[in-house]
Amino acid sequence: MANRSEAAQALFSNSEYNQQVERQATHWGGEVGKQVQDVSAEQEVEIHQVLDFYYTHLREKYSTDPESLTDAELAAARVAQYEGNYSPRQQAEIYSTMEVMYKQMSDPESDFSKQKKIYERDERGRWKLSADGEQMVAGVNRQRIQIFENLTGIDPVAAGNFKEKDRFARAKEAGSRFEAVSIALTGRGRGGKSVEEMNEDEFNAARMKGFQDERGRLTVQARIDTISAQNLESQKTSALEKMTEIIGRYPTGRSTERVRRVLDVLEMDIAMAQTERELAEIIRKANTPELTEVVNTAEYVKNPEQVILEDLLAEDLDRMVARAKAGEVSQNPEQIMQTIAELDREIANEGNDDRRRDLERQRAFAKDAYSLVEGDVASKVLQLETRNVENITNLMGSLDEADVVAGLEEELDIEVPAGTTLDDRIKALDRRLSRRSKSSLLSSVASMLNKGAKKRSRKPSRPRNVGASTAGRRRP
Amino acid sequence: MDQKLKQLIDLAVIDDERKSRYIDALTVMNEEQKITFAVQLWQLLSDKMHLQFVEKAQNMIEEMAQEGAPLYTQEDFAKVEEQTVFEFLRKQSGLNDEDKLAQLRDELLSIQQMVESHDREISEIKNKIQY
Repeated sequence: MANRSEAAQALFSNSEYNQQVERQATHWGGEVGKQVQDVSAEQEVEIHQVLDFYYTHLREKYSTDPESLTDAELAAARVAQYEGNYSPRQQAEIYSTMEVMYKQMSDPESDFSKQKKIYERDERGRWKLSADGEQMVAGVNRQRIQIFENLTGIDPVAAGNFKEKDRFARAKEAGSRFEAVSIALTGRGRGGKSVEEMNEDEFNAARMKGFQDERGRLTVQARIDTISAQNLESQKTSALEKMTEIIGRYPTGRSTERVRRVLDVLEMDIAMAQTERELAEIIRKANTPELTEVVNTAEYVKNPEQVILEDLLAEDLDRMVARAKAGEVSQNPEQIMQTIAELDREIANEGNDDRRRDLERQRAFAKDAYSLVEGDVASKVLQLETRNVENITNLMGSLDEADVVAGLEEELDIEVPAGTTLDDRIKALDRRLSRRSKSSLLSSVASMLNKGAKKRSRKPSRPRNVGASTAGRRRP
Repeated sequence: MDQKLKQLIDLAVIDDERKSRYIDALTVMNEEQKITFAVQLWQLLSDKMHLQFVEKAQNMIEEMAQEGAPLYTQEDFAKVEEQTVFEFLRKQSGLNDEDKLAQLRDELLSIQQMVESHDREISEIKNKIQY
């Protein structure tokens, strides 16, 4: 071990390099990166930052006990001192070093994590990445991806249509994984091994257990990461403003809240629907004889990571299935909500775990169906963009009369005594509109309401206590 | 069409619950929905193949980091990517005929290109919605 000790001492006693890293790596994300303008130079700086950060840990940990340094750590200390203009071999070494770092960062209680304060406790006492830890993880992952691409010519994340994989990568890499692993490692205090002591198989087993335990949360985390909340919110706000502006020209009674509720379920389904038809047309023209030759010989090794990945990759497929299935169930949102409420009651009272999970699946499906039915209304709302009065009339005709009436009452500040029937409310509105409105548009609204009243008289009313839910409602 | 789709579902999906949910849904899908569904299944497959390649490439990079080990070029990685696709298709489809495998691969790539174009269209629509 003498050679190792000498090598380590030589590495750690490079005073010029030590002074340099002291300046740069005392705190992650210092000024160096910010001063660099050129992108490629910035990447090089970040590689230095990452490696220096690790180097200072190794020096502190092993300066008095260099013989304990592992081969991988010794290599990492050497790699940290490469100066730039990295050769392919050096890049591969850096990549390999980052894998070692990654493994040690996976355990909040590893020496590296503790010394560099990569984790901290949240208010519930659970580990979470600290601000420095977040930057460190992001930096390591960014550079691993960059080096991978440099060496292979292929972007490991973004190649092809891999937006879902990007989502997976973010969930996997941006912290959840580390916490998941830490949970898997809770046995260490009871004789479990530390991550430094684990061999590759043990580490992977712990990681997989972490994934399994945290599957639900990881999936949700990934969705949150992908649908950038800010981006989606800005799209919704923008669309909401536009719709409100259009709708505001007509006293349709559709309140902003109602439009927002529709937008909540709308997201990008409308855009998808518009292009799906076109895509299907292209595919229909494509000759795909080989499909027939594909046989059922799937032999995937199921592991939790793959299952989570599939959850994420298959979201579009899940949505298509839900949409197709929704055609089979009620198109009435109120009936669907009633079903959801019934399922909630059953779930609350169900003692059998399997049966409860089954009910929860049914509930999730009913919620999907509800979103789709509401989404259908939303797509009709979008037709308003045509600014066609006839469209508006059709739209209103397809809405629940009681909602339209309540909206108009709200819009016109009409106070409705409790117990007033819908018929009477429509008549009152008709009178009010006739006095107020001069435009053809308002006439068409009134006409629609009249038609609604006639239509209602020909068929049984909906199973809803209209008076109780909407009469007397006032604008806040 | 349903038989092909069932085969594709078996090929692409590992979660048994999801698999049976998809197969059940085929009975209520119209033809257009089935075609779009098939495209998405192919996409799922191609994503999985890509991930297999990434794992192999990571091992090659680890190998390169060793002193005296061979240095792989981007062409080497490209070959490995192609081999991965072929191995995957061979294993999953049971096909042994190289020409048919190549045809299957090309078909997959062309579907991928269509999907990418589809994504571009969606981005444009999103931009329009954002005004």
